[in-house]
Amino acid sequence: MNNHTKKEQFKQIVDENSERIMRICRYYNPNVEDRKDMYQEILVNVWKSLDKFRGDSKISTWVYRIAINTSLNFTGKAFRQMKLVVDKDVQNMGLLVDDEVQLKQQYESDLETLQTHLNLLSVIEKAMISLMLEGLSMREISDVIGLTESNVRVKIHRIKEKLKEQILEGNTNNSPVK
Amino acid sequence: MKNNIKQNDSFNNMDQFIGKLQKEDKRNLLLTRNVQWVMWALAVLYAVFFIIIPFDSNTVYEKIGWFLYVATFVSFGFVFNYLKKEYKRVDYGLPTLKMLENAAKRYKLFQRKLVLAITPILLIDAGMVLLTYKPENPETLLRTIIITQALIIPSVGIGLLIGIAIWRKRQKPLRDAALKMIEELKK
Repeated sequence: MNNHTKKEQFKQIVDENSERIMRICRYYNPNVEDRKDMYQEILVNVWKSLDKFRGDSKISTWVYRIAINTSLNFTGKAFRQMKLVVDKDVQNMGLLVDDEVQLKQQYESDLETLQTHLNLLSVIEKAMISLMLEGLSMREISDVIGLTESNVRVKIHRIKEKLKEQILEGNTNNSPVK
Repeated sequence: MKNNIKQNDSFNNMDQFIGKLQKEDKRNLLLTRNVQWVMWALAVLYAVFFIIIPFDSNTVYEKIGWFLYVATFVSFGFVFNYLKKEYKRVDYGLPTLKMLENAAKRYKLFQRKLVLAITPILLIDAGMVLLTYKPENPETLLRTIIITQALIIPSVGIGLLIGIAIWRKRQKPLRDAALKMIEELKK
């Protein structure tokens, strides 16, 4: 790929996916400067990997892979400090629970509690949750992570169960003694 | 690469940002090319010594010694080229599991490519022995071999220890983290 073509292709990818990348950075960094830093690192990795892109997957999937892989590396530098940040603007928050309306409402109303429980998840679980919050299908998540679709389904189900248990447990502990 | 790109202005002007990326690519390419040129230049230099020394029964060891020096730098050049290509193969666009597996492999301490690095060391070792050996005193051969090893082995040993220390500090934590994530994904 010559330099001019690479430059044009890079610009187009960034134009079409900058929001996506920004959102992933936002999930991982409460601090604006850290977000910028991560955004930049993702773009550098997009540039480095562009020559190897053969079009086997959708561009958006490829961008998600780079963003997630960079986040794993990026956060690897400060493994324990990594937080998954969600706020009320996250559209797909309801996907974190399957059916319980009450729990769903509680998730959305008590962001702080949700935040605490999300941050108890492992790095990989956080990566999967961030893709789910992005509204990706199980098929797409499996393309990004490299597991089979059924495997992803099982893992996400386990994460949801874990979150549900933790939230319910928290509720029981906080409920007034009769 | 990231450190060389000033942050704040990077996204106000995408062309400027790309320009910096391209400049960085060029700089890396130039740097690796220069190292390779040094290797080839040393190989040529020793090839000159190899050629100008007349070939007779008195100089045969010396001649083979210079030839081994040429082979050393040629093999250093190839090893360097191999490592450069391997570094360029790092692909963030792979599925996460595959990327983690590649990273775990890349950051392993003892790898097959270590054999590649041993080749030039063995060549230079043999070259040094032959160049310092005086064939007119055959009894000095064993002494020459021992003295050469006394120089080479500690140097390689120190290099190895420094390498292991760097690996423990930089690569081992990355490999451990990658292995932990792989285990979790496969669970």
